[in-house]
Amino acid sequence: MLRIPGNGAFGLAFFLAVASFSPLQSAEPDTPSPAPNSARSRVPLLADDAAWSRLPETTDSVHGPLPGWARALVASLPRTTAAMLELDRLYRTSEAFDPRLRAKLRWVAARSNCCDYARRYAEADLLRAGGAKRDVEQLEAGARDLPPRERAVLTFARKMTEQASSVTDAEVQYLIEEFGEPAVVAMVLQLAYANFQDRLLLALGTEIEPVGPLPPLPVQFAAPPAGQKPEPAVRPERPAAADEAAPAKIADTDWLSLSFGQLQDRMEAQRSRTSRVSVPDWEVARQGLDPQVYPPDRPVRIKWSLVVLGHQPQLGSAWIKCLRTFGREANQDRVFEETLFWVITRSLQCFY
Amino acid sequence: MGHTEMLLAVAGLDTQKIAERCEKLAGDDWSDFPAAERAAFLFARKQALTPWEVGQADVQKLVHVFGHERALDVVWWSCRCHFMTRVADGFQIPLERDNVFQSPPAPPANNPPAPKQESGS
Repeated sequence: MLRIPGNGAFGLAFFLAVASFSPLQSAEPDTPSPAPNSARSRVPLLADDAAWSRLPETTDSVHGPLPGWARALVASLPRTTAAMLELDRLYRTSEAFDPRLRAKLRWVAARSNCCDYARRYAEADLLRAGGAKRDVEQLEAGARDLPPRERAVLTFARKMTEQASSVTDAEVQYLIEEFGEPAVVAMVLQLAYANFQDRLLLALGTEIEPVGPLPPLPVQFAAPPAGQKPEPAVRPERPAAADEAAPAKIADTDWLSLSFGQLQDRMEAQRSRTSRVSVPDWEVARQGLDPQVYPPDRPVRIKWSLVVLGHQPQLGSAWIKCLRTFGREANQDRVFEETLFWVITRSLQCFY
Repeated sequence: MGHTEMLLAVAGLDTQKIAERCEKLAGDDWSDFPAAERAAFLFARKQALTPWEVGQADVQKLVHVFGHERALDVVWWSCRCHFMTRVADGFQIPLERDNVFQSPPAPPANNPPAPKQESGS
C-alpha cells in the first residue's frame, strides 16, 4: 500500500479520485506537504578539497563547491559520484522540453517526496531558466492558474511520483499529442531521475549548502583509457549480523495481499500490454549513440533501453553510464541486488 | 519472467531457484534470507512507500549489518530501482518473452564475442 505524506494510508477513495482525473481536470496539489524528518547528514561529508582529490581527473580545471550528496558519496563511490555529477548537470540543463516546465515538474516531484533540498534546487533552476518568483508562488498555491497542458504535466509528475502505476494511457496520450513523443520521454526520464535522487537525498540527510542551491557544475571527467576496466572499490568484510537484526516473519497485510500466483498473472498481463510510446528498432536507436559505447554490431534488445536511448540518447545514455559505473565500482552480489529490485517492484506494484 | 527474474537468471540462478526465491519473498516467512538481506529488503520497502520517513535509525540498521561502505551501496541501489520503475510504469513497456539480458547466440567464429550481458534495466 502506498502512503501519501500527511494522510496516512493511501486509501481506495483517493486512488479512485486520482485515477478518474482526465488530463484537463488535473489541477495540482492538494494539501501542503509536511516537513520531512530532520535533515542532518547521516554519513560523513568530505571537505571540498578532499572530495575533489578523490574524484577522477577532469578534462578541464573546473573545481568549486560540491553538492552535499557528492561529498557524502565520494569516499566510497568516487567514480559513481563523478558520473552522477555529469548526470545531474545534464538533467538540470536539459532543453528537451521547456526548461521552466522542467524545473516546475522537478519541484512537484520534490514536493510529493517531501524533499526540501530538491524543491529548493528546483526553485533555483526555475529562476535560472527565466522563471520568476511568481512562478514559484503559483506552484505553492496549487498551480491552478496554469494553462491546461502545463497542469497536465504537473499532475503527471505528481502521479508518477506518488503512484506511477495509476497513470493512465489517456494521460500519456494527451501529453504526447501536446508535446510530442521525445519530450514526453524526457519528462519521464526527469521524473525517474527525481525519484532516484530524492530518495538518495532523503536517505543521506543532505542539507542545502551554506551558500544556497549550487548551479549545475560544468564538469567533465576524463574517460578511462580504452580497454581499461576500473577495478571494483575495496569493500571491508560484511560484519556478522545477528539473526535478530531483522525480523523473519512478515506481518505486512499489504505485502501479503497478492499471492505469488497472482503476481505471476499480473506479470503475464504485462506481456500483452501495448506500449504508450513507440519502441525504436536498434538501427534507429543507435544513430544518436556513441559507437564506442554502443557498438553497432551488438544490438540492445531490451525495450526499456531502446525507448530511452532511442528517444533521448543523451539523457538515456548518461543514466545507463551511471548504472554501469556503479555496477563495476560497487560490485555487489548480483542475486542480492536483483532480489532487492524484486522487493521494490512488488512494493510499487510495478509488474515488470 | 519479469526483468528482475531475467536478471536473477543472468546472475546464475536456474528457473526453479528463481521461482522458489520469488515465492518465498512474496510470502510471510523470510527466514531463509540472511538477516542483512532482510534488513535491506525492509529498508527498500519503507523507502519505496514513504521515503520521507527514512531516518537515521534506518540507515544505521543497514550500517550495522553491512558496514558503512556496503550500506551506502545498498542505499544507492535501492534508490536506483525507482528510476527503472518510473520508466517502466510511465510507458507500460511490454515485457519481452525472451531473456533479453542474456548473451545472444554465439556469433560466427571470426567476429568478436558478444558482451556477457546487457545493461540498462
